[in-house]
Amino acid sequence: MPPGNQRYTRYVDLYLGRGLYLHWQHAPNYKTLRFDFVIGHPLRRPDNAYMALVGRLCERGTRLMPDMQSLNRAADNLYGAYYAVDIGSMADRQFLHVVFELLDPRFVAEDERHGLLLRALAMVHQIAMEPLAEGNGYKKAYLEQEKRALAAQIKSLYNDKMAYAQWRCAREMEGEERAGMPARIEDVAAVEGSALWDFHRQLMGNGEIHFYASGCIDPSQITTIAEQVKTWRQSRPEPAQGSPRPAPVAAGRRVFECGDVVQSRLVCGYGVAVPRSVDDYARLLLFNAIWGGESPSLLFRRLREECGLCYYIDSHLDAFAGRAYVLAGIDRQDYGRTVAEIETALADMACGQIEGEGFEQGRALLLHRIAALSEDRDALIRMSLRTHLARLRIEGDHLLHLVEALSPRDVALAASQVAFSMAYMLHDRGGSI
Amino acid sequence: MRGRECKEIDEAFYAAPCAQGGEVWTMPKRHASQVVIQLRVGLGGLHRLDGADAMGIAHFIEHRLFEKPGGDMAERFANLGGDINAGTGLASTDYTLSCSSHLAEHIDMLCELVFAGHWHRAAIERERDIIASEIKLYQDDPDWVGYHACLRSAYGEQAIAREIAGDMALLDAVDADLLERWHTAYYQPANTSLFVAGNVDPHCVVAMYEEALRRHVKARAVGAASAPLPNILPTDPVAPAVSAQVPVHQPQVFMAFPDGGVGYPPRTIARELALEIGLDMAMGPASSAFASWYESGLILGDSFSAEVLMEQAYGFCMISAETACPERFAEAVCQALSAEWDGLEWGEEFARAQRKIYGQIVRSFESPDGCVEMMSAARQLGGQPFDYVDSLRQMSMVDVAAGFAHCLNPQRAGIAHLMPLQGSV
Repeated sequence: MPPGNQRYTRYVDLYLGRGLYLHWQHAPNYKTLRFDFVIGHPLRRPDNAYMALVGRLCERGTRLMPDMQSLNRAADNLYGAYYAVDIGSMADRQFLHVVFELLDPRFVAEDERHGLLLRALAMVHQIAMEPLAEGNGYKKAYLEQEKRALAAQIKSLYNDKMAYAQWRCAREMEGEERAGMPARIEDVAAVEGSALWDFHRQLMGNGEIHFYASGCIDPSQITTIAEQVKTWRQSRPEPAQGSPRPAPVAAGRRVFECGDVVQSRLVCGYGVAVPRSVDDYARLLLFNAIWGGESPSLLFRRLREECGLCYYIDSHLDAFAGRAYVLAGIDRQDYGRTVAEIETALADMACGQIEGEGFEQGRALLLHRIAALSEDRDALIRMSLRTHLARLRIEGDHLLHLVEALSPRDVALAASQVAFSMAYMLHDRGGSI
Repeated sequence: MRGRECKEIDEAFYAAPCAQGGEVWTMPKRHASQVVIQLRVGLGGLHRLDGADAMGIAHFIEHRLFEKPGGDMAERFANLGGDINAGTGLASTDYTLSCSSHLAEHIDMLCELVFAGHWHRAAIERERDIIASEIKLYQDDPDWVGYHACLRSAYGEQAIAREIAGDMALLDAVDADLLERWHTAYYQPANTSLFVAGNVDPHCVVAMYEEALRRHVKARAVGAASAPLPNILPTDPVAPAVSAQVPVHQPQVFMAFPDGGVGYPPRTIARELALEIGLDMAMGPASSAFASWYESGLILGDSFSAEVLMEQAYGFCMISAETACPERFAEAVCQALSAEWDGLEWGEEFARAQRKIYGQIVRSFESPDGCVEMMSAARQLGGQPFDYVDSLRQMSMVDVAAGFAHCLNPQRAGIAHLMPLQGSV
């Protein structure tokens, strides 16, 4: 390939005061400008129900665009600007994330370029911080409707059998009190309008706000953006409440659930050592790539290609939550053999028995993923959030060098710190395990 | 090599025929950190050979090609940091690769992957189990079940409504001879297109591809491109709505509106865009219909979807949603499509939808994988990627009205209701 392509870009971080962070990525190759408003909160019950409802209500209307249709029409008129409010989690935090993406002014009619950026910023602010109010709270009819819709959405998680199985496994690992996502239906039902309104106000008043701006944005524009974002909060936030400590991982449990499925869904949950340095994190990333995170991987090769036990097998990592999962679609009667093969693969890795090419393949694919980060805004934002969450400076360039320097011994070390926690299987009604 | 710049979206596109047949399409992106390459073979589930269609076979070939005497191809790509994936559709099989370096080696391996067939009996047996597992995985997916059920309602038992991966009986019938015959017939350079986007020189890409073809196709007879697929028409009249019980929480509705009929115009990028605009005007997130469905609780949150699927041989619009009232939802969709628009409202909605689709098209060209998708989609409809921009600019309300008449016709909708299985959830 011709030389000179920029291999990696990252966000430049600016602290604006009052708990406001501005992260700027100058990426002239983008055809869009993208703004991401991210605010975090501890992941706990019943706040996860509150957060989910706030996210839904942000999309129902704002002070100036009082219903969903006017909000959607305003976005369409900004040349089909895309917006969404998502709730995500990372380790023991949950995040409200407003995404707003619009065409770079270079691509719109000349007489409409002026003011486009400020209009977009105003929309982000409206969606996140100025929800439609009725008296001193949300519009009651909207709140009740969104409570019903959220409850239905949670129940519909069962439609995606693999996602359902992973959620069940994670919940079994967490225990009753520590609540992941999605929220519990009983917590959603119990939410009251005034408490939810207060929650939203406190969240916006006290949470650390990370505002990401990426695209062909020059320094003068970033100054304008910084000035605007600064006006969104007038006072200093109160000190953040501590997050709950990671829950101890239950060891060696097995949970089987019978359902109307053609194929059984197996999820094995593992406890992993939470990274304390970027080196730890790089080791863990490479371990996961080799184990089951990439295709091909050790699990893919052994369980699918050699044993023919499955079509789908994958491992993934929630590093700062101290968790890893292996997911597979298998026949019920193959449960024992599948779990044994997964465990053997892990044990082999921990003993340093990493098949020669498997190490190089996993590393080469991981390096490709990191190099491609500059074209994946979502992945870059997740990396930036991890940086703040873990108080580690995780940057693509650095990560590339670290991964390049890792040896099979490093991977064996990471594997030795991965411990089986539990297996969950959703299986068909044809018989027992 | 012919090239074209589109200043409006700041992109350039180059196309060149290959000496051995087929074409190479390239979109250079100087700042991109990865290159995305798609080698498309004109063999999908709808193609036919010796009186049989390729349902199950095209997909089986795609799976089997990854194993070579020199090792698994995915592993060999991985050695160089290349990430390979493949998918079989109704009209083509696509092998898509992304990489950050070693472009010539990756193109060479892509040709080896696609053109060198090795059909060992034991390996075929093992693949049968893996594909059977894949089919079972899909059978638990309500979206998959609903998609096929409503296509059966619209198209009857035609291949378009069947599972591309086949069924257990078909898998049992697959052997080395069958795979070899289909592979020889369709996996010809003349029946392929290569799409490349990233930090590349178009002339170098063509040279690399031709060299790779010389290495991997030399022992085979070079054949011609396969004949175009025949026009797939819906049954007339369409079958009544079908209902199936599946393990879901809420009922789901799937509606297929087939495009096509005697004397209808050919399927083009302009017709695809006209349908997208029409759907957005009638029931997109900014429409009055969508607002009333959401406000009244007829549709649940994010479950609503309306999309256009079109290639030269077939086309349909698929509308689906989770709803507590499946029949009422189906009626509401038909009402929205039959609504009388007054001139002023129609003009405003058209302008809004046109702006929105313009933004989506420009965004599609942002990344190398988006450019490859646009080239691939344009090729399927007999156009080139910037036709999306040109066609949208030239679009009029008359085109959208024709889209309603030819495709979004409530009388011809194939409908499937997925109902919760009693006692399942």
